[in-house]
Amino acid sequence: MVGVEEVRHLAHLARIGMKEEELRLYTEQINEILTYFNMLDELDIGNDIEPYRMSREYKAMRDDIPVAFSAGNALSNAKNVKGRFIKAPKMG
Amino acid sequence: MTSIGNSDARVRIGLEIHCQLTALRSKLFCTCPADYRGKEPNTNVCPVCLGMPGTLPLLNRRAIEYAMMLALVLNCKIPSRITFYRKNYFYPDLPKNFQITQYNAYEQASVGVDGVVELDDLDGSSKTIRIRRLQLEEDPGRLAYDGSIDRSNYALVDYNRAGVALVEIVSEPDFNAPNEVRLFLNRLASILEHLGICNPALEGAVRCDANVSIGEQARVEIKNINSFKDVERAVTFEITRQRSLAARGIEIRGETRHWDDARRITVQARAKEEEEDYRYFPEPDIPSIVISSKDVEAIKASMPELPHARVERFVNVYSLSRDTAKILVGEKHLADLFEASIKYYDNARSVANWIVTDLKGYLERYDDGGGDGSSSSSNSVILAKVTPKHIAELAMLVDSGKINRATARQILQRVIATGMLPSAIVQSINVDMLSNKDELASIVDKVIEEERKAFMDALSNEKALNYLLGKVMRYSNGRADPKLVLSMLKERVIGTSKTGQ
Repeated sequence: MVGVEEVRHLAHLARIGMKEEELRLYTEQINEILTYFNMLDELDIGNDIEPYRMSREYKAMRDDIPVAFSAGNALSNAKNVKGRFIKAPKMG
Repeated sequence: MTSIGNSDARVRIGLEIHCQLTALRSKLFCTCPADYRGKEPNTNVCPVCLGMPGTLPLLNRRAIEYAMMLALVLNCKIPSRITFYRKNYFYPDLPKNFQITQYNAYEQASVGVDGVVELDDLDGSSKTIRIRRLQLEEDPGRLAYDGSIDRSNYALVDYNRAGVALVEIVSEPDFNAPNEVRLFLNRLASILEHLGICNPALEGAVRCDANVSIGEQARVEIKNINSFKDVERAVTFEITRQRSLAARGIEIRGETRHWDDARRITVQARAKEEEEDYRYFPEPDIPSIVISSKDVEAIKASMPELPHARVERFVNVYSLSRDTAKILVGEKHLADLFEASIKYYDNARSVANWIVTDLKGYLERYDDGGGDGSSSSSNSVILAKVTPKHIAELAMLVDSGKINRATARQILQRVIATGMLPSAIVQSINVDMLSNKDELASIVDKVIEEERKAFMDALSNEKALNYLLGKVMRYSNGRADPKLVLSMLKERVIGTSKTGQ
C-alpha cells in the first residue's frame, strides 16, 4: 500500500503538479489497483520457478550498417521549435 | 599494494567514465548514422531514437562486441546473460523519458563485471584499480541555450546524438591521488586507440565523472568533466576544497558538483534523483542476450594487439628499453610512427629515441591543451606533417655524423614548418641559418605581397601566421630562422592593424 507522500514523490519524479485533493484521489486509486494485483498471489504456481525471460541468440542482432531515416522531418510534429532545435523547458 | 606518487590513503577517488564507441557506423538501437558531429540539429534522427510510440529498438551486434573487447582488456568477467534496463527520469535531452542502460542490482548482467587494472608508473611502483562494472547504454541528446544558461528561459534540444552507443566504466574508489587518475586515463586512452573502438580526440567522445571523499567525510560527485585532461584538475581542486573546509571545521556535504572548465573550479549542481527514484526495470523490448564461452573466445581472437603486448614486442624484437617502449605505446600514433619509420632505417633504438625525446618534447612545447587524453589538435597538425621518412632520415643523418643533434633539432623544426625532407634541408643549408633581419625582410615582404588574403586573416587570427611562416621557409629553402620570421610577421601584423590598412 502507498501513502499520499509516496504519490507526491512520484508526481515530482514525473514532473506533474498535483493539488492535495488530486493526491488523495490518486493515492486511493493506486491502492485499489495494487489490491487488485494481490489476487495474483493467490495463484498456485509451485516453487522454484525461474522468472520468465526472453532471450535470444547472440547471432540474432542487427549488423552495424547505417541507414539514415529519410521519410520525414523530425520537427514536423514538434509544437515548439526554434530554427532546427526543439524548444523545451529549462530544468532547474 | 604500493602506491604511486604523492598518494594519501585517506583520499578515495572513484571514476565513472563514458566512452562513445566512435568506430561504430550506426547508433546503438537504430540504424541512424553514429557520426552526428557537425550535422544540422535534429537531422540525424529516426522514430526509434526519438522515442516515438510503437517503435522497436534493435541492438547493434558490433556494439556488444566492442564493449566485450574493452571488458576483456580490463580483465572483467563477462556474464553468460546480458540484459538491458530502463532508467526512468524526465529531462528534455531524453526523448523517451527513460534511458536504455544496464543495471546490476538484481543480477550481474552488464557486459563486464569485477575487472582489475594494474597501474604501473615508470619508476616501477604499481597499484591495482578494481573495475566494478562495464556497461552499454545510449547517449542522450544535447541541450543548447540562447545566450547564457542562466539568462535563457528555455532549453534548445538537438537529438542527433541521442542513441549513440556509450560504454560506461565504473571503478571502485581505489585511487588515492589525482596523478593515479591521470595514469589510469592515459592507459585507457591508449587501450581505446589500440582497440580502435573509440577516438578520444573527438570532442565529447570521452567524458568522466569522479567521486571524491576524504576519511569518513561524505562523498562528493563531480559531473560534467568533458576531457580526460580536466579530470586530474577537477579532482585536485575538489581535494583542496574539501581539505580547506575540514581545516575550518566545516562538515562536507554529500552532493553533486559540476566542473566549470572555464573557471577551473567545481560548483554546486542541482539535486539529482536518488538511485531508487530511477525505478529501473528490465527493458521489455530487448531480449536478454546469451553469451557463450565460444562467443567470448571468438571476440578474444578478433582483438588487435594490445598496449601491453606491444610493449613486450618492442622490448623483445627491437631491444628498446621498457621505459622507451612504454612511452611510445602510451600514445598509439607515436608507436605507429616508430614502426613505420624503422622500415626506412632499421636502427630501432635510434629512431625510438628521436620520437621519444625530440619529437615528443617538441609536441609537448607546442601543446595547446586540447581536449583529451591523447594528442591535442595542434599536435595532430604537426604529426600530419612529420612522416616516417622524415624521422628515419633525421636519425640516419645524426648517426652518420653528418649533422649534430642540435642541428638535427633545428632541422626538425624546419621539417614541421615546410614538410621538406631532412636530407633536402641539409643540402640547402650549406651555410648557417638565415638570421639576418635585412636579408629576411625581402622574403617576408614578398610573401605578404603574394598572400594578401592570408595576411589579412592573420590580423584577426594568429594561426594564419603559421601559413605565412611556411611560405617564408619554403622561399628561403628552409634556411630562415623560424622564430625570427614569426616575430617579423607579428610586427607587420601589429603595424597594419595600427594604421588600419
